[in-house]
Formats: sequence, structure tokens, C-alpha cells
Amino acid sequence: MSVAWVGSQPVSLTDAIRNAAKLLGSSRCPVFTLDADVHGTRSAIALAERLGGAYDHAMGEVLAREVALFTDHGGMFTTPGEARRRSSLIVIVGDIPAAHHDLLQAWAGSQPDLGDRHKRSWFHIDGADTPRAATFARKLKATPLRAEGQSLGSVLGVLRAGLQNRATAVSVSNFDRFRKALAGALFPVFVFSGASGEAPGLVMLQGLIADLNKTGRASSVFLPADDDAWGTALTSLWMTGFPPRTGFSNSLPSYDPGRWDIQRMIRDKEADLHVWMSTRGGETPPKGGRIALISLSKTDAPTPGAKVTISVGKPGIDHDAVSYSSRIGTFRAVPAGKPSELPNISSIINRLAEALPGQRALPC
Amino acid sequence: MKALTFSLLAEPEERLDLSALTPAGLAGLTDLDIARLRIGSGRQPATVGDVFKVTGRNVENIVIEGGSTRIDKVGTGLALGAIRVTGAVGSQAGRQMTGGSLLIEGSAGHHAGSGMSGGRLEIKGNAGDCLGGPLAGEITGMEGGMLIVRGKAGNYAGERLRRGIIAILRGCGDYAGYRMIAGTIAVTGRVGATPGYLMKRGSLLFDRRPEFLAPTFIDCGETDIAFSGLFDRFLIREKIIDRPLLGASPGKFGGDLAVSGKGEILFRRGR
Amino acid sequence: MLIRLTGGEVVDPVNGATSKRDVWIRDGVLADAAKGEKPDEIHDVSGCIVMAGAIDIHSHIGGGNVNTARLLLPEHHRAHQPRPANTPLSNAGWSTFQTGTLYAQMGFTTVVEPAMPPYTALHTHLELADIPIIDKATLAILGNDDFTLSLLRNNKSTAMLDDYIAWVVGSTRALGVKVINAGAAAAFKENVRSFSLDDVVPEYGLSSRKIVKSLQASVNRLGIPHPLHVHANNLGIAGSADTAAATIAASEGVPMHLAHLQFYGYGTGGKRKFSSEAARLAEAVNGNPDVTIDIGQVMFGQTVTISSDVMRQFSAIGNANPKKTVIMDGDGNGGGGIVPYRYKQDYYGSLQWAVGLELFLLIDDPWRVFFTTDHPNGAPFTAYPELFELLMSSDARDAKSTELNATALGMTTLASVRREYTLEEIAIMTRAAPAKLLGLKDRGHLGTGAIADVAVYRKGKDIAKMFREAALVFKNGDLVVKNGKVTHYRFGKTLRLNPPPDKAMVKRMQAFHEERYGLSLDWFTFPDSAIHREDPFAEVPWNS
Repeated sequence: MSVAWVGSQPVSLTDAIRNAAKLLGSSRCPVFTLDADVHGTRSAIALAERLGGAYDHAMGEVLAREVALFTDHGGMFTTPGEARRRSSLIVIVGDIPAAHHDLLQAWAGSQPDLGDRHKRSWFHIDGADTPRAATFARKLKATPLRAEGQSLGSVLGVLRAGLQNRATAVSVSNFDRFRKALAGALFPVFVFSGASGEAPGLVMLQGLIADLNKTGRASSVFLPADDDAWGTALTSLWMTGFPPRTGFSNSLPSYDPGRWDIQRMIRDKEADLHVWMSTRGGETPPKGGRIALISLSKTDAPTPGAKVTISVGKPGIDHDAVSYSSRIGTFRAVPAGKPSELPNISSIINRLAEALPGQRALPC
Repeated sequence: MKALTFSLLAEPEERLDLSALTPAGLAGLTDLDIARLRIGSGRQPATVGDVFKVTGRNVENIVIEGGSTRIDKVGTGLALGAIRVTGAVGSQAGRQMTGGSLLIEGSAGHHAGSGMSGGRLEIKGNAGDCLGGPLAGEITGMEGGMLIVRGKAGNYAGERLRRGIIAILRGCGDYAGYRMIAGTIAVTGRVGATPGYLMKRGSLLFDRRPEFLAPTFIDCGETDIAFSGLFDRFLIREKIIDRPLLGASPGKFGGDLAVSGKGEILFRRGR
Repeated sequence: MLIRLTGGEVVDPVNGATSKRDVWIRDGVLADAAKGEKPDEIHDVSGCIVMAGAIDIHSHIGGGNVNTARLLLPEHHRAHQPRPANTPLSNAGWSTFQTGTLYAQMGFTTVVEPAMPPYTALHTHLELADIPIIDKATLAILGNDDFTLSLLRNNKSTAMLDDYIAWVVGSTRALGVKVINAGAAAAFKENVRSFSLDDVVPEYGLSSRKIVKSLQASVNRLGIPHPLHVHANNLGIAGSADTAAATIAASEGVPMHLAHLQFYGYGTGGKRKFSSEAARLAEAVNGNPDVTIDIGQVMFGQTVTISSDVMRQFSAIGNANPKKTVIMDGDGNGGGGIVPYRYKQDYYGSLQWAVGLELFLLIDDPWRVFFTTDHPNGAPFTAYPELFELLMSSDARDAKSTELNATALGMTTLASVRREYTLEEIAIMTRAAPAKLLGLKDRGHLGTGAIADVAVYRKGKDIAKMFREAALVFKNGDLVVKNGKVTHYRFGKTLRLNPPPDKAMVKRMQAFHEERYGLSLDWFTFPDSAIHREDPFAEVPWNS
């Protein structure tokens, strides 16, 4: 079975590396779309620095929204473990990605063993712009908090105003029950994701939580829209001081979510080489902009349109991995689920670096 | 003395950072010094001489001839003097201006007037998102001066505005005046969803009733305050608009009640 | 590989008086003078001071909270200018790479991250592994987790507590144990807003004192070389000197380390009800030979406070500058708060600055007072050179004092204290004493057999300049800094203890995590191979 291609021709891995390194070496502005575990991310960022390139995660759009909540505002947070053990009142905010539904159902099947130890009750803040949210919330028997035709951001605003006894133009269903439940719970927790709604709504939510903490306690659990993307953001932070979207100029990183939006750079033809990672299987590189493409993906066929394709393993499946897990709210060592010979992204990137002029090893 | 003129030779390959091309940044430099200024940021960064033909001498009066959506940070930190761009610009035009005048004859990208605290920035075309707004991580937006957009503005116009005036003549996107702290934003034309979301204080002035208002703004009825007339006269005198924006008895919403609720949206009735 | 440093003035008080002599390095280790053997490298260090590499015992250099601070404050480090980079990512402000580079350039070769929440140990170690050049170590936080508190509430045997602590230290690859505002993080989750030494954690009926004393005794019994590292209650509050004094008294003849004492040096005197109690605390430290402290000196300017003391950080939200914060109610010992702060030369800032210096100067024994700014809480570690100058020159203190708030300084003894640290005292405080405190026998001095961590400083009138840019730095005999610039990377080790886990405790841990978190224990632990570096850890022996 082939693991490397130049165009549509199967080649040896060494040939593919040599060809890819040639493209990288002569690129004016290479961009990297990341989809890797911590160690793949580390190597890719180190390579981007060496080449004066820029990087973003494959889920960059929603990741940028999640990052913005922190960079522009901050907030109050707790971990999934603490919420499970301590919170008798869970409030789901908008649409929680399906990947996290198991976690919430596990909470539903358990009882808090710290704090007030009351039987857990559930609410769900719903907006006209989060149509998929309600089905799952019903499974948890969550009491809906909504207002006809109003967006999630507006409903959150109305709740926040209402909890301060301010009248608003519309009212939210079950508000009195909600207020009573909040008053009776020692450690209410709001669960949200970057996919929950627009960025201003997330800021409003944190404002509501800050208000509650003036006299009592409340917190939030942040469940990233994509765990791997969040892991990449954390890794990027310690390596460069910045989350993605970051680019390097004269070895100096700069963070600018507009400027280093890789998709935009490709569309606007600012970039001239795209290193595209995809370990989820079955994905195709984004269309628009016809620039040279190096594909590092879990595939058994050359990626359409790619000048070089190298097949890589999926972290945690084909090889051991270190990934962010929202089950524990931090990194986790994940043993290979189905070990294979497919190389990991980090090793391929290190070989690419060593094939570049100068042949220097990367720092990670 | 002829204006110091930078004529763009061709569309640049990479994004350019023009923050050095201000009266203060160029004062005392020789032609050669100017030609050698590095303005590119890629692996083979361009210099001024690679990209522009430079003529004229008067650094107090700078003209950038031709435009490109790839020229960023035009007029950064401008304190006095004038800069005029005959075409479009990229992001962050007029970033942290404190004085002087910056005129963009084409359209501007996102974050035009970001963090400006004085001077006058006028954009004849459209402006992108986050007009006058803070960059990622910053917590204050525009803090003074006058920002005029003759065309449309994108989303988040006037985000975290603290002082100064923003006037937009052909409507704007969603979240105008998002997290405003004070200051004034005047808009003629269609306004997108939820203007004033999370605003604490300050004034949003519209020439029509906003279509999609957050429910945390409540109708305060008809107002007849001296301010609206005064402000209309000011906008006309400054040649920003040619007829009154608010009229004699504008309507008023107060909000955002999710926060302190001391902000106001004034709008012209009957449209 | 044989290296000879010749002509330098060797300041190594552990091994004798300061003198001009050669220093020899053979294969990464300090060696006796090699007679009749030609060195591979000779470095003429005339006009220089030669010391062991410095050791920082308390600096927040990596882990979840530090990383959250980076996330919260992308604008905090935008100002860095491009410099020629000969080492990857060393220009990246506040990155792990820059951290190692900047420390090495000042002649620091070992740094301890003092606050690792056990459940995020992997994250901490991933970051530490990306800090180049220096060796690292970290302390595991305990004292706010349900398991510890339940053991104490239920009067379980001390052996069980010891087994638990040994398991935590071993599985998290820690070098010691830290307790942070014992019990307060647990109490804060139940809406308790202030917490002192004899206050009681709801649910458990345990006082903070009881938690500290139990952990202190256990650390001592276990033979963990570093005594319990205590972040006391009431940090930063006017009147906290009472808490600190009570905590010092509670050491009761058993070793205890008190972190960043400066932040507890405050009384309630004066018009602003904020005064210096440094002299009193210094006396308490002087009179309790089992107590060691570090300072947490405040220097002026923008910084960010990063602490697992979530109750304290929550109460500081109103003083955030710029106004944005993250407060995290973590699992047990995790969490904390990130509150950006600017130390101004006003009354409060001036007083804090003076309190730190008073403590430095009034505590007699340089073996028991440690040089820290609690990076980045009092100031970033890049302020160290200026701090050395303040300690070594009373003129420098006087000069700085003229810029500060006179009323505040008038509330302190600073002007009357003329002590100036000698180079030997600096060598003890920043080299020999930290090595001893941490149980690192292989470093902190230049005796034969020690690892060749050597810092060479060019002697000059400008003390700050001397310490800012070391002329030469060797890490394990590898020349890594020349003329104040890192020449290349190497990757040091993370120093850890490795107690064998008690089998019954491991079983108990498995059951606990499955029952309480619904997850098997391997979600919370990791193999060494998870850190993608060759031999990322080095073991430090226990006290027998």
C-alpha cells in the first residue's frame, strides 16, 4: 500500500519528503492548517517559525470565537469533574456539540457528592438561532428558557437583566423557576461551547455569572467545539505566547485573527503554499485559491490537487497521543487504539525540517 | 512644497505595514532612507523602494497614490499633518491616531480607526468590521476624535467606544456600539441586528427605527431634548450630513438593561 | 571533554573563601585541577566572577494557569522587538522557549515551578519540557482536595495520608509538596469569602491550621527533602502579618517554607490602614531556625498575578488592570485566578516594594531567605538584575526611594537599614541555599563532583548589568551563553522524586476516580513517554 504521492504518482516516503521540502524551501508565504495532537502541533509550529509562515487550526473559525472570549473578556470557569461532583443545577447554554453529549448524560446519571448534594436539576437556555439545541436538552429533561423569536444572545441578556430585577421588552419562559433554582443551589454551573452562539452572547453569559458571584457562587464549564483544536490553542500559547491565528515575521510571532486567517490568506492569494493536515479521514482540502498544496492526511489515496501527499496516522488511534480532553478539562495521554505503521505528523515534520536547506533539527 | 507622494507601482505580493509612513516617522529621513524602509513582513520583505515611486518633499502632507487592500496600518499613530490615500486600504488604517487628518478615498478593511484618540479619519468608501474597535486582547476602543465613513460599515462598528464621534452614512452591520462605554455613533441607513448590545453608556443616533433591537432595550417614548438638535447642527456644520438626522422629536430606547442600562438609542421617527 | 576557566574570582562560599583560582570541568562535571593534561577549551575569565549556576525556587514558569494568563493577555507581550534569532522561538514573548533563554542569560540553570495541580500535571510537564537549557522542577499542590480533606476528617491513619502524598508526588513527578491557602479553595466553592488559619472548611470541619500541620508532618515523615511549601492564608490583605506570624509559630520546630512573605508583611497602621510589619516578621523568621522563606519582591510596572489561591484572586478582580480576569474553580487543588496588575509608585506599591526589601535586609541568615519575585506576581523574573543591585547597594535603594511615595517609605525601616549583600551572600541565597532547601546535592556550588552549572559574570560598577548578561554560562559543562546571549539550545531535565507507589493506595485511587469522576485512573496519570523528549526526568533521592 502506498503512503506517499507526488501528484497522483505513488513514490517512496523519502522522495515525497524531498519534494515537499523543495516546495517549503522556495515558498514566499507558507500557511499551515493544523489537525494534530500536542506533539504534531509542536513540530508544525516550530516548522512554521523556521519558514516564516502562519498557522491556524482546521476548526479555526469556531476556535477563534472561543479564544476571543478569553482574550477580550475572561470569565469564571470550573472543570467537568468539579461540576459533576458539586453542581446540583446545570444550565446548558445553546447548542452543545454532539461530542460532549455523553459527558452530560453521565452527569445526568450521577448525583453530586459534594456541596449541597441535591438531586441534579437541568435548565436549557435556547435561542431562535440555535435550532439543534432543544432535542438534546429534552433528553436531559432540561427546563427550557426561551423567548419567541429571540436569539440566544438576547435571551441571555433578558435573563441577566431579570436577575437584577430590571424589566425587559420580552419575558423568558420558566424564568421564576430558574430564579428559584439558582437561589437554592450552592454551585450552579452553566455549560457552554464556542458553538453555543455568537461571541457577544458568551460575554453576556460571563457577565451573568459574575453578577451571581456578587453574593453567591456560580461558574461555567467550557466544552470546546473541538477538543483537538483547543489542545492546539493551548500548545500554541506556550510555544509562541499566542493562540492561533498566528504568523511569524523575522522569527517574531504575531497574533492577529484577521490577518492570519489561513482560509482568507488562501482566498486572497497572500499565501503561496498550503500545508494541510487532516487526520479525521474523508475530508477534502478547502476550495478556493489555487495554491500549491502539501497534504499530510490519513488517506490511502493521493489528495486531489495536492502536489505532495503523505499519509499519516491519527493520534490516539494509529499511535499514542497527547490530546486535550474536555472530559477532564486538560491534556491526557491517549494510548493508540489500533496501532499501525502510519507515521505520526511530528516525525514527518521533523523529516521535512531536516530536508530543508541548512538541515537543522527543530526544537521539538 | 509638493506633498510627499508614494505611488504604488503594482499590486503588492504580500501584506505591507505602512505604519512608518507618517510625518513623524519620516521626518529627517533622506530619500535613500525612505526607499530602504522595510514595509513587508514575509520571508523576503519588501522595502518602500520596491513597491512605491516616491516624489515630493513635504512630510507634513503625505499622499499614497493608488490603493490596495494589502496596505495595512496606514497613518498609525498620526499626530499631526495629513495623509491621503487615493484608493483602498487594508486593516487598521488610522490605528491609534492622536491628531491630524487621514483621508481614505476608497474603502478600508477591518479595525479602521482602532484605538484612535484624536484627529479626523474619513473613509469615502466602506469600512470593514470593528470600526474604531480594539484589537484582540485590548479592552478599550476609540477614545476620541472623529471617524467618518461615507459608505457602509461592517459588524461591531464602534466596539467599546469610550469617547469621540463615529458617523456612518450608508448603514452598518450587526452589533453597532457593542460594549460601548461612552461617546456617540451616528448612522444613516440600515442598521443591522442588536445595536448597543452590552452598552453601558453613550449614544447611538439613527435616522430610522432600528429593526432588530435586543429586548434589553426599552422604549422610553418620545423625547424632546436639546441634544438632538444641537448634534444635528454639529453634523451639518462639519459637512458630515446635509440634513438633520434625528429631527425635532426623536424616539428613544434605553439600555442595555443587562448591564447598567444608561445608554440610549435615539432615532428619527416616522421612517 | 576538559574545560578550564582561568583567571576568574571564584565566589563559592560552600567550598571556601572567595579567591582567584581556576575552575575545571570534565565531561559536564566540576573536576579537580588536571595536572599535565591539556584542556580541550580554555576560557580566560580575568576580571570576572565565577559562581555556580543560580537556582530559583519559586517562579511560575509553566502550567495551566500560566498558559491561561497568556491566553487572557495577548496584548501583554506584543511590544517585543524583532532581534536576530539564533535559537528557535526565543523571540516569542512569554513562550517556554523565551523563558529558558532569558533565565540562562542571567546565569540561572535550575528553576522550580512551585504550583502544579496534580490533575493537570501532564500539562505542566509538557510546558516544562519545552523550556530549553535549564533544569526544572515542580511542587505538587495539596490541601484543598476532597481526598486529603476526607482522610483528615475521617481521622484516617497518618500512614494512609503518607501513602497518598507519596502517590501524588510520584505520579505527578513532583519534587515536593505545596499547600495554597489550605482549605480556602474548597471553602470558596461553598461561598466562603474570607479564610484564616483557624477558620474551618465547611463539609469537613477542618481548620486551615489542621491541614497545614498534617501535610507538614507527612512531608517530614516521608523524608521529602524540601519542607512543606506553604502559601499562607490572607495573602495581600492589610493585617496579614498576623496570619504569617501565626503560621511561622505553627511550624513548631519542624521544617516549613513560607512562600512570598512580602505579600504578608502588612499591618493596619497609618491613615490608609496599610503599613509595614516587615521588621516584626523578620524577627519571627530569625527566631525560628526551622523556617525558611522567600520574598516575592514587588518591582514596578505591568505584570499579571497568577495564583491557585482562587479566593484571594477573586477578591482582587476589582483591582485588575487591564480589567479582565479568569477565575477557575478547579478540581480540588487546581484552579486559581489570573488577574493582571500594574504596580504603581503610589502609596501601596511603594510600601510593598519597601516591605520586600526590609525582609531581605532584616533576615540575618542568607541560608533561610530566598530570592524571588514570585514571578510574575511581584514582578517578572526579568527584574532580577535590578533587584540584585538594590540588595547590594544602599545607594541604589536611596536613589530609587526618591522616586517613590515618601509617606509609605516613612512607615518602614528601609531608610535606616544600610546592609548591603556581599557576593558571597548572594551566592548562598541564590545557589547554595536553594540547592540545600530542595535536596539537590549535585549543584549550588563549584566543588568537585557537582554538575558543571557555572555562571561567569563580568565585574563592573553596574551591578544590574553584570547580572543581566552573564559573560559565560555552562549547563552541565555545555557552554550555552556567551556575552549575555544564548548560543544554542540543549534541553535540561525535570527533577523529581520517585517514591514507589503503595499498592493499596493505587487500588484506592482507582476506586475513588471511578466512583467520583466516572473515569478510570489512567485518565489522570501518564507515562514518561507522553513527554516527547529523551529522558525528560531525573530522579532526586529522598532523605533517609
